[in-house]
Amino acid sequence: MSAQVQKQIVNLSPSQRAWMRFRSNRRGYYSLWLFSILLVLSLFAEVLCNDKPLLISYDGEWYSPVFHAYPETTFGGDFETEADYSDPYVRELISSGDNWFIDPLIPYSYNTINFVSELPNPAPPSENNMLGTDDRGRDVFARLLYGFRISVLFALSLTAIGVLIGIVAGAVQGYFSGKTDLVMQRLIEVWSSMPELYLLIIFSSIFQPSIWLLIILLSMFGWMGLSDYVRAEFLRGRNLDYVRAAKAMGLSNFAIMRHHLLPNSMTPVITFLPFRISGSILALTSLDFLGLGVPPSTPSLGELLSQGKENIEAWWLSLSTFLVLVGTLMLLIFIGEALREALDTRKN
Amino acid sequence: MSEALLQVENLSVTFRTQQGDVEAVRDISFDIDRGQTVALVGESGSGKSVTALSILRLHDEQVVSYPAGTIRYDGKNLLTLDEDTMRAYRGGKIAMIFQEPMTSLNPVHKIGAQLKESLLVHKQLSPEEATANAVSLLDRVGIPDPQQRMNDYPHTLSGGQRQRVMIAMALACKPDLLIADEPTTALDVTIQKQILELLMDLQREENLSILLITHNLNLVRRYADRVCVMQHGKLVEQADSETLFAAPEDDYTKYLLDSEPDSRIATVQPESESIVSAQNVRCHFPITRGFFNKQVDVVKAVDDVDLQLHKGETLGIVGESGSGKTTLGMALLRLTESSGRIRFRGHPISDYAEKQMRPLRRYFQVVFQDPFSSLSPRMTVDQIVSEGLKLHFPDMTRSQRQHKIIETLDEVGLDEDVLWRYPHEFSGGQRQRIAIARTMVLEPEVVMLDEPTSALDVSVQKQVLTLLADLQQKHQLSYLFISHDLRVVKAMSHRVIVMRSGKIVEAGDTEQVLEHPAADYTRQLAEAALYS
Repeated sequence: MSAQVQKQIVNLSPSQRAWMRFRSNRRGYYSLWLFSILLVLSLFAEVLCNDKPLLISYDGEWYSPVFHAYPETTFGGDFETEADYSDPYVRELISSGDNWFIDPLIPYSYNTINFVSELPNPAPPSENNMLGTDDRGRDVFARLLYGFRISVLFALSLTAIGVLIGIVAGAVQGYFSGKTDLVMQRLIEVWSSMPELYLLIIFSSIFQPSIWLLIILLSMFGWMGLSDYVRAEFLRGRNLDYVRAAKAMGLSNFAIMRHHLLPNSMTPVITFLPFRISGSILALTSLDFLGLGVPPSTPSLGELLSQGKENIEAWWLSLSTFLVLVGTLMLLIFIGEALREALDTRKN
Repeated sequence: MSEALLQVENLSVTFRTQQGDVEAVRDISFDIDRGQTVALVGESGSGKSVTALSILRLHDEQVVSYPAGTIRYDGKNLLTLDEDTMRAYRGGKIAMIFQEPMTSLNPVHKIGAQLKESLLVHKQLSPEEATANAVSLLDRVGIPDPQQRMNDYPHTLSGGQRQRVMIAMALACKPDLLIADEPTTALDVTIQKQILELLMDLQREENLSILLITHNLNLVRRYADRVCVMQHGKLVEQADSETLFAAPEDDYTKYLLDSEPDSRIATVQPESESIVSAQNVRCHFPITRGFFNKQVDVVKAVDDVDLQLHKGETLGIVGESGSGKTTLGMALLRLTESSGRIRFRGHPISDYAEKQMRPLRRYFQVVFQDPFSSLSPRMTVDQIVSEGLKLHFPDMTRSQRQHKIIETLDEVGLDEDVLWRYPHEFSGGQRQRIAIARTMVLEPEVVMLDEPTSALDVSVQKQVLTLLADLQQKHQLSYLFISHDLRVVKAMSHRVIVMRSGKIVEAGDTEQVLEHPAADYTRQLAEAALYS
């Protein structure tokens, strides 16, 4: 490395240097790109996979059914209810004469049932449904795309909440130690002995099952493993000289925890991050597989897997879901690996 | 003259690293005769320990190779021996003792068992013979009541006693050559002297050869027959002790001999005001036992200490490890619970809550011993130095702050382009400068220096002391200088207090206390430390 390049590196700010280290891990870098593209695509799932046309030109006026609901009467139909664009009669209305419409790439939403299919459900991949349909005649590709989005968003929020609570609890325990630590540790032990799965079953029969209920229930228990590690790191760090120096400087407890102890306690947090995210995806998938997860109509990878189990001859169900799941988990782990290396300031 | 016991000829040692090969030792040659003590002296990174480990071939041979040279022991080249033959030499013919007696003994086994182990393995003695042998070994190295001690665990022994046990273990198989890698660095001065005397006695009795590895050139003057000075993996000078100390030839040797701290005592205005005063400071830690925390005993870490620190003055606090000097410092900074009255700039800070104390902290700063643990490894130099400024000077603009930081860094002898670097990219001396910059940027009035140079090489030590003295002169700072090293304290402080077991043994002007000690303890300490 020439002296000039060396000099340039020295002048970079810490976050720029972390980004450089991240990029030097090619596998993680490309995984991040691929994952981001997939996530962004899935965020626009309504535009990609929908049973409503993107744009309709009817009688010289433009309509966008994806974003607005129009009654069938708007297009000269009979019913006051929202137009069903898969109905051949409605299609006829919006394409006759000068009228035209643009369909999305995949003309099915996650809950669109293909009534016009000539094959019995579940139908194998065909011209109409490129990954086939499930046992109720819904397009598998659309369900996978929506299911991927729900899984990833669920996992990210569950991880974020769990990490946040875990860090706060572990930090308070480790930093103040003594009686605070003792009391909190006992409470955690009591809390962690609650039967989690049992509670989930009970709660899903009391409340209307929903994704929010799952997030709340799972994050109530998910933080404990992490808080132990953070606590240990804080306990180790609180007596180091740089913390004493910060105390002697007059910094408040919060500032010491935030600026001195936290950055030096992040190793377990960062190390477990990819595994926590993939673990959350797996948790949702398995709960759905068991029928304890999201409500029935919601697109979910677990529900597709369980359909695949019941229709074992419909290989397109289990195979495609399996590949999406494995691909997602692998990308996350590669990214996590690169992230961990990037945040290690002792490595250049 | 008979052939030397150990002959190292043209030895080079190479480490394979990801950045390519690194030659840690280059082309060095020296001999050790029977019954002779040879000292290998150099600063950290000079390759002295690498050389010692090569003799026993204790390096990881996946990483280390010996591209050139031979190590002949009794005529045999150790570098070409196979692993099994080599094992017989280790411990059997050549023994080694290490620097850290705390970690060299296994904490879960009794001392006796650890001593007997090598006797049982190497000499195939019966258990009874081994026990008798072990007891006599402990007796030889001066452990009182050896029969009892056999059943003790390492943590019940003091540092000096542990090092004695290590020596006993090294001697168990009657080696001809003893390699002592910094055997006394981790010990207090009075104990250092005892351990070295013990080694010399054993050498006379057993006709041992000793390779003494140390960074302390003055230690060597007394005990070594020959001295080899190493720098950057090369042997720069080799001579008989007397010749070397009388007429050093190499520049580096002269530099090392010259790195004794000069007296750098700043002038104090007479009648300067008292800035810190403490009366009856006590730190007692109760020892509790059982479920109801019944108090069974009390550790008096600091017991009834009075002190005064005037403006622009340095007060040395000396004592051996465990004497309570650091605890006293922490109590004065109000970082440890204590009783007694402490006044700082007229404030009765011993009654202050942490919140009231915070604004005052700016004026009372601290520099710690170990520059590797006193800087947060995840913060850049800029973050480290600016943190206190942001807290205590919240009105400063970004550019004013930047200006102030660069000015301070310049004052401690660091460039502007260190700002974005992390502590691990610096050497020990540079890191200590960063730690000093962190305190100086706040323009304090009192700085507590807790062994600020103990973790540094002698030449760097001198630079840091010079820097501290200059800063004191320039800003009229008061220093509380905590150290076990009497030479450093002598060079820096106006007055000194000597502590032992939490109590002040003696206090007064430095000259008076160290040259004409009134207490026995101070005399012992001064003798051991200054070799006067």
